[in-house]
Amino acid sequence: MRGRILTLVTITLILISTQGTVANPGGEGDGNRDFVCGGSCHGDPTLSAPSTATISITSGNTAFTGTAYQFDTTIEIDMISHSRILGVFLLSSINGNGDNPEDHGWNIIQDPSGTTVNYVEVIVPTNGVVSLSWVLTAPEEVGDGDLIVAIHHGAGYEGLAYLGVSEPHSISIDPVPANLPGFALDWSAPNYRVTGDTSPVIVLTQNATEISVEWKLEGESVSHPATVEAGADDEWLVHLPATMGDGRIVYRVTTSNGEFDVIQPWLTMGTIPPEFDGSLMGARAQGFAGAFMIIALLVSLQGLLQPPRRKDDLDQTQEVEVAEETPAESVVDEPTVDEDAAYRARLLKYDEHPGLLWDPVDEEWVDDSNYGGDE
Amino acid sequence: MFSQTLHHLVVGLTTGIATLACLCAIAAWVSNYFVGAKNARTHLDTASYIAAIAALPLLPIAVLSGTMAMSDPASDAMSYNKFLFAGLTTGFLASMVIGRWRFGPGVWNDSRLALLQAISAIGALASITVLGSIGAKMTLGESTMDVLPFWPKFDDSVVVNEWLSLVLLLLGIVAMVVAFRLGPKTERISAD
Repeated sequence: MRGRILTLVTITLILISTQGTVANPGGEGDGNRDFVCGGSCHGDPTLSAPSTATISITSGNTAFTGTAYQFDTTIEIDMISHSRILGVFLLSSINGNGDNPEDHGWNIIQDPSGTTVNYVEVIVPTNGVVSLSWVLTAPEEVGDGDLIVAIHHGAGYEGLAYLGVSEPHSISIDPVPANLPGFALDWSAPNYRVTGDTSPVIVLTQNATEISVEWKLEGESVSHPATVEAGADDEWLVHLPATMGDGRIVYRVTTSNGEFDVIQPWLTMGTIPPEFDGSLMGARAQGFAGAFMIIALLVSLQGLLQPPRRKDDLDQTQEVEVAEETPAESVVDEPTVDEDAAYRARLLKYDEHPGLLWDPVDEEWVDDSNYGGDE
Repeated sequence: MFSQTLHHLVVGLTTGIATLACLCAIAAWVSNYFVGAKNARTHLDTASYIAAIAALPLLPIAVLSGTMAMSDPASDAMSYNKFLFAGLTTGFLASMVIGRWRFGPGVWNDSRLALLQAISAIGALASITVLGSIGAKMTLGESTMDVLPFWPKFDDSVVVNEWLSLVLLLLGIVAMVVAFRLGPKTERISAD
């Protein structure tokens, strides 16, 4: 009976939780997805509504076959769910299947999250403006291609999914001109630099007579020009500021040759800590040195902090009495007259200590043999 | 594989025995503040002395087995720190044993020397705790000490040049010899 009740309660709880949950308010995570999840609940008019967000695309309308192309979009959104999650698709169609640009010959090199997917989820900042960039390789075939931005999000605590789709952005895919300036084919951008490293980044190009570079820290909106020095043939030394900690710098190269100015995609460079230069022998030596120094310090402190010898400890009356009881076999030489006189001369007399004389050499009081006699 | 197992065994023994030595020494010092704790102090002192003597030869064995268990020891900050803290632990433990040996069981009767012994014990205990924590970080990726907000990060270390390390080692040996040979003479303190 109890088992049945438990089962009933469990089923009821599951049903209640599904009623209270529409779609995935916590997001589904980044991934490769078709438009509106291929006809999921977002397509149901009772569960979805058009978004009031504005989607703008600022990329160029020309790409060369097989070369990098940067797609930039800015989304301005005025109402968003409590979690502020916004899902953004980069698509080539809105059929519900085969919508991924990669299904249309494009290749995603980098998405806004640094991975290679067409759907990302971002947190909308308080100003409601989100700028995202995808870096793609254009299809190998000459022709026209479309790229579309679609978004979905919630609003307030309502259970509706809000959908928005941009106008298709047409791109003419042209053959690569013979003298198009760009990166050398065998050059790859450095992924990391050691923290604090100010050495220039070496950029290798082809067909370029001049390059300019702008940089910014990841997350910054304003970019700064970098100093570029010409090196050997088709080699450029780009001076970028050193980064520390987990800082990541992004930079963009514009390659020019008087005929074409090609703005290359943003490249990201992280920061890594310097290589550890410790050795086993050094570690052992340093460990032993630490041990010996601690011992030296504490042993010295032990000597300094030990209790001072009290007078009782120096009292050897007992030993003297024992010695007197036993017959002496040897006689200690009497001090010579000179030694005795010198000893007596160094003794100091103080009025406040009658009967005693102070020996400053041995630092002790001795009996005054003359006390009670002459004085 | 055998060195790893041996290291686990020796580390368990060393840590346990050294912790016992330190805790007993601290308790012996604290017992000074309780009337009628003389008997307990005697037992704590004996336990601490024997445990510390037992832990001292185990420490280098633990270091050696750890070195054998690693493919590239001291090649990163964490394992480098293990060597440094093993040195500190040895220094504090040895000082504790030397103090007890030089002054006898009466060392706890003198307030200043008792405090120095307790400081040595606390230093050794802290170093052992850090050693264990680094070990846990290396093998498990976390340590129970992570809950403390002020626990230092072990992915950084104080590395000096190899030759400078040798100079420091020489300096340490000289300092130790000077402390023993030229320092004040000590006498055993009466336990009564």
